Amino acid sequence: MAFRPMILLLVSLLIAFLSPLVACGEQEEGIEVAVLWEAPPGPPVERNERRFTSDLGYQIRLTHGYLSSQSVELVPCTGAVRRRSFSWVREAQAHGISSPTRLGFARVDSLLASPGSLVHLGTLAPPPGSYCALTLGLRVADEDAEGLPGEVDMVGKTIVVGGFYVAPGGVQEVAFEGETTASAAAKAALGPLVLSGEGSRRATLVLALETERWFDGADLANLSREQIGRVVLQNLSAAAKASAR
Amino acid sequence: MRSACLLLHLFFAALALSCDKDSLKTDLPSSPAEDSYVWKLPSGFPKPKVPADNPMNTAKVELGRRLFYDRRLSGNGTYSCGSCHEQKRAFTDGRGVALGSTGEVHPRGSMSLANVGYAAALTWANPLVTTLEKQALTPMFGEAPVELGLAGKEEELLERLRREPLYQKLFPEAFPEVGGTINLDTITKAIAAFERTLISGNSPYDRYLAGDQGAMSESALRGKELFFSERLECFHCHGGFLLADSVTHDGKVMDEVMFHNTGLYNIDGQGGYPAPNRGVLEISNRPEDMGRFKAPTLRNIAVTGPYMHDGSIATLSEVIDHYAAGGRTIATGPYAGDGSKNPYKSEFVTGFLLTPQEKLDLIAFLESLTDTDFLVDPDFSDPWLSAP
Ligand code: HEC
Ligand code: HEC
Repeated sequence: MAFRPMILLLVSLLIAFLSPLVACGEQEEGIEVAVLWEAPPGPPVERNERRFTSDLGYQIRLTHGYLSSQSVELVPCTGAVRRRSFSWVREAQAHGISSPTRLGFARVDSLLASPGSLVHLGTLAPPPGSYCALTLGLRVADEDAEGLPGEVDMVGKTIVVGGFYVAPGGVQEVAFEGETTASAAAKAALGPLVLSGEGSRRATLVLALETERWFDGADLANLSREQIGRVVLQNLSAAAKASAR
Repeated sequence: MRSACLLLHLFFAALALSCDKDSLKTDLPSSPAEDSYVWKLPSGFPKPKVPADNPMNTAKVELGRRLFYDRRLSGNGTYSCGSCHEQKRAFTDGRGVALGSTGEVHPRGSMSLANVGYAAALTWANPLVTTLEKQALTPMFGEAPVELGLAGKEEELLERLRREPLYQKLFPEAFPEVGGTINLDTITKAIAAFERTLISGNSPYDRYLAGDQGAMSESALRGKELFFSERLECFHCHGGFLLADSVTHDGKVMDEVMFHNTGLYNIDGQGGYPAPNRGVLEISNRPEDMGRFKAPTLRNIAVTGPYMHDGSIATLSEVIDHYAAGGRTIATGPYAGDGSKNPYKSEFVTGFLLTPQEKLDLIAFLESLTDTDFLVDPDFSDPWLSAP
């Protein structure tokens, strides 16, 4: 609960000692990656709500919103990861399993978080190479996820949003709720990030879910709870931006 | 992560050890015929499990192939196993549900026999059928539904086969230990031996894994990443070298047999699937087994449509829609219901967001699992079509 606010994900790449694991990847000694979350600077959060005007002309007050995430992963520029040898074991990415380029965790974060705080999520140890994207894995929350809210039941859901809208041309506020169990991946392009054995051994990446377009394309008056959940989840996924610091 | 690597090393070390054990097996008592059998195994494929009382030999495999394609194996002489299991469709029949020799409709669709020798449980939802020898009796003698229609015609069948000169030669070669007796035991054993040779592992995906970087398109490679991603979860149930679960092989001690409900139906709002296709529940009578089926192999999946146990999904694109929605919604008719709300649905079917390009990529990956050599391999084709 200490780490509630985080729409910004801060990934800090630190170089440290790591013993060589010759057959298990191409990583060299000394590359280590710390992963942190940072809350967004954002549009201001007023009275514990966020306000939006969507492209369809809806005026929206988001009064509660939670997002469940389970992994963050560095994506190499070569597209598909080239596996060195035949292995059916290595293909699968089981839940919670971490690898040199991937951190597994289970957390729920408020979409109404106020800016400022930083959360250390864990440590990556990527092999040298060029990385072109950072992916945040969004998946249903488990019972033991960190940061489960008391306000709404997030277990078994990927996202929950709720509040009030005024339809285009309308005057009256109408309550709405959205939620879905669907998984998604928020993929943010990177510069690319080049990590080599020498030279640049330390980098920090900031992943932000930009906040302007969360409700775009959502015809709230005519969508089911599940449809609203899916549209917002889609918009959040598309809002991921990353930059190196 | 280092311990995971260590585990991996241990795993391969154990594999290597078990290989050594195989090579030591020569001093164990076994029939000479078995030792003479040479498996054609693709790289990365283990040896199939072979029951001790049905060792492999070349004559038996050839005999099994003859029997598999022999229309005398049906009550009215119109059907063979091959009628519902066609090689060019990876041994399926292209129908939603199978049609028996007397015109009776099977409640379920025919299944691919590619790599069936590795299956730890056979048919769509029966944990009790675990050997090919036993399974073969169902299409032959089953009455609900009638497939080959041999019930009550056992002696007639044996007489017919005993008159065939080729069988008079092949049975003694295949079964020297029982003097070539032609009976149900030897018939089913020979068919099972042939089925164990139906090994398919030369798809573009296999060639890619073996080091041929150009074997798969960029789109298929992106689809592969999606297939093995946590977002889509496909690999949880369609995993391992067969992209299936409930798989066994030589040297494997414990077989894990698993069945899953993917949220295909929810006809009563309480998770109901239409009878008699309620999955393992039909056998176990346990409510929690409602809608639980075997996750079939996805090898050659592009040629085995229509899909699912009852052929109720026509295309791979629609199969992906079903999983993306976290279960299928049927709007009208007797089967109407929201499958995504099926209480017995697997926790791995929660739905996912997929862009149109990603969907094409996933389909390209599934298409890269087709082993075209297997579909035309003369070793598996109908031997009665050419002069014996
Ligand atoms: C009428 C069409 C039909 C005929 C004829 C037929 N099958 Fe099948 N086969 C099916 C269907 C349908 C299934 C799925 C059965 C089920 O789930 O109950 C199946 C399943 C199987 C399976 C299980 C595959 C797996 O992956 O679990 C095997 C093995 C098999 N058949 C072998 C045979 C053999 C051997 C013969 C001939 C003796 C034969 N079949 C004849 C339709 C047929
Ligand atoms: C929870 C386990 C599970 C997961 C996860 C899963 N499947 Fe399946 N799959 C099954 C089962 C079980 C069936 C058969 C279901 C039935 O007939 O009711 C099946 C059937 C299929 C079929 C049709 C097979 C045939 O021979 O008719 C395809 C294609 C398929 N799955 C692809 C996928 C893809 C692609 C994914 C990932 C998006 C996926 N599956 C995820 C268990 C799973």
